[in-house]
Amino acid sequence: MQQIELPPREGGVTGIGEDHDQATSMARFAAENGQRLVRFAFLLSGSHHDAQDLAQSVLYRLSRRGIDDLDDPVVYARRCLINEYRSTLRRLTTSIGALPHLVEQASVTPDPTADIVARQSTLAALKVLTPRQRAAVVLRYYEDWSDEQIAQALGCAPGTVRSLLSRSKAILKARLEDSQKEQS
Amino acid sequence: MNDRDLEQLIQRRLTDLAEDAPTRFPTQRPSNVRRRGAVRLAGAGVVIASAVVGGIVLTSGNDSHESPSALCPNELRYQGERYWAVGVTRMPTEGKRLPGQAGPSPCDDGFGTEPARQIPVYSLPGASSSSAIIADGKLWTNTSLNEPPTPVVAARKPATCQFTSDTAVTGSVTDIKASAEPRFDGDVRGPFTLELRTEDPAITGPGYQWVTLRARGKAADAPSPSLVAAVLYDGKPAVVELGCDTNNFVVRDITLAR
Repeated sequence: MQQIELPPREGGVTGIGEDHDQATSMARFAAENGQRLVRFAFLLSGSHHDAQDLAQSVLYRLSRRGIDDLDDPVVYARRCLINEYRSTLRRLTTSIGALPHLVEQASVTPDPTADIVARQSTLAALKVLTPRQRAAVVLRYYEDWSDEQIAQALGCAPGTVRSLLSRSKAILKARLEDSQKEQS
Repeated sequence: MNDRDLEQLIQRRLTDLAEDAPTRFPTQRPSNVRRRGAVRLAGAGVVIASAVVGGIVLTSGNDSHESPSALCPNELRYQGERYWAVGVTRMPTEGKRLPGQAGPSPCDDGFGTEPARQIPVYSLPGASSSSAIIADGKLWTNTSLNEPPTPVVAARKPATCQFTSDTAVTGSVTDIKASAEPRFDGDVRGPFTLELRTEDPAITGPGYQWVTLRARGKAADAPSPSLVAAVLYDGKPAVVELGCDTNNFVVRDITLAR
C-alpha cells in the first residue's frame, strides 16, 4: 500500500498507536478519492488552479481532523469542498469594466487538443447556475448520487435537492440546446 | 429535448469536461516530487479578479431573494452608494470615523443571503468618502468610478526591497506558491514564492497599517510541512529573514515567532 507522510496531528505524533491508524486511513482515503475530489472541484469552479487548491485544502483539513469517526467521509469531503468553494467566492468580486485597471485577469491556458467548443459551452452553462445548483447538478449527473446523499452534502432536505435539480435542468436545457445548435 | 435526453446530455458533457480536470495529484512522495499550487490562508488578501471561475460576469447586484445570483460580489452599501473591495499590497491607516454604518449588499448565492450586519466606516486619507472608504479591515472603492483615487493606486503598488543587509521581519504568512505538484499536507518542494504580511512600522512606513511583501525562495530554504501548517493553516506568526536581489525580496530563512 502506498504510504503518504502526513503532518503531525494536534497533540499527537504520527506513527504511534491510534494516530498511526488515523494516518493510514487518511492516506488510503486520499489515494482512493483524491483525484475524484479534484475533478469535482474542477466541475464546481471551472479552474484548474482553484480545483487543486480546493481539494488540497479539504484533504488537509480532513487529515488534521481525522476521518475514522465519520459515517461517510466521501460525503463529508464533498460538503467541506462545497463550503470552501462558497467561502472563496464570497471573498472575491468581478468587474464589468468600471475599474478595468484594478482587475487582475485570471490566466486561462487553452487546450489545443480538446473539444474546446463543447467544453467551453458546458462551462459557460454551469456558470449560470448558483454554486448550490452547480453542486447539486455535479453530484447527480457526474457523481450519480441519490437525493439523500446530495441532501447530506448540501445540508438540506431531499425535497430541496429535487427543486434545485429541476430548476437547474431548466436553465441548462436552454443553454445546452443553444450550444448544440451552434455546433451542428 | 425530453427530460431523459437532457439528463443524458448533461451527464455526457460533465464526464467530458471532467477529463479536462488537473490530473497531477500524487499519492506517494517520490524524492524528487515537485509541487504546484497555492497553499493559501483563507481570508487573506482580497483581490478583484475578472475570471475567478472562468469568466462569470456579474451584471448587477441582486436584491431579489427569489432569484439567486450565480455569484455574490464582495460589496458594501454605504450612504446609498455601492463599494467593491480592492486588493492592496499595503493597507492605509484609517482616517476619521464617518457617520452611519455600512452593510453587505443583500445577495443570495443559493445558500441564502449573507446575514445583515452594520460595519463602521472610516475615511481613506487623501480620498473623498464618495470615492473610497475603509471598512471591515479592507479598502473599498465606489463601483461607479472610472479611475481609482491616488491613495488607492498607492496602496496597490508592490513593495520593493530596500534593505541594506539581511533583515528579520515578523508577520503572518498569507500565501506560499511552489512550482511543483500539489500536496495536501503542506509539502513545499522546489523554488517557491512566499507572501508575508507585516505590521512592523519600520517596514510599512508612515500612513499604513500593514504591507505584504512577496519574496522568492530557493528549494534549499523551503519551509517544512509542519512549519507551513503552523504559519499558513494555523496562522501562527513567523519570522522571515529577507534579503534583497536588486529590488526583489529573497527568503533566507523562516521560523516561528516566539
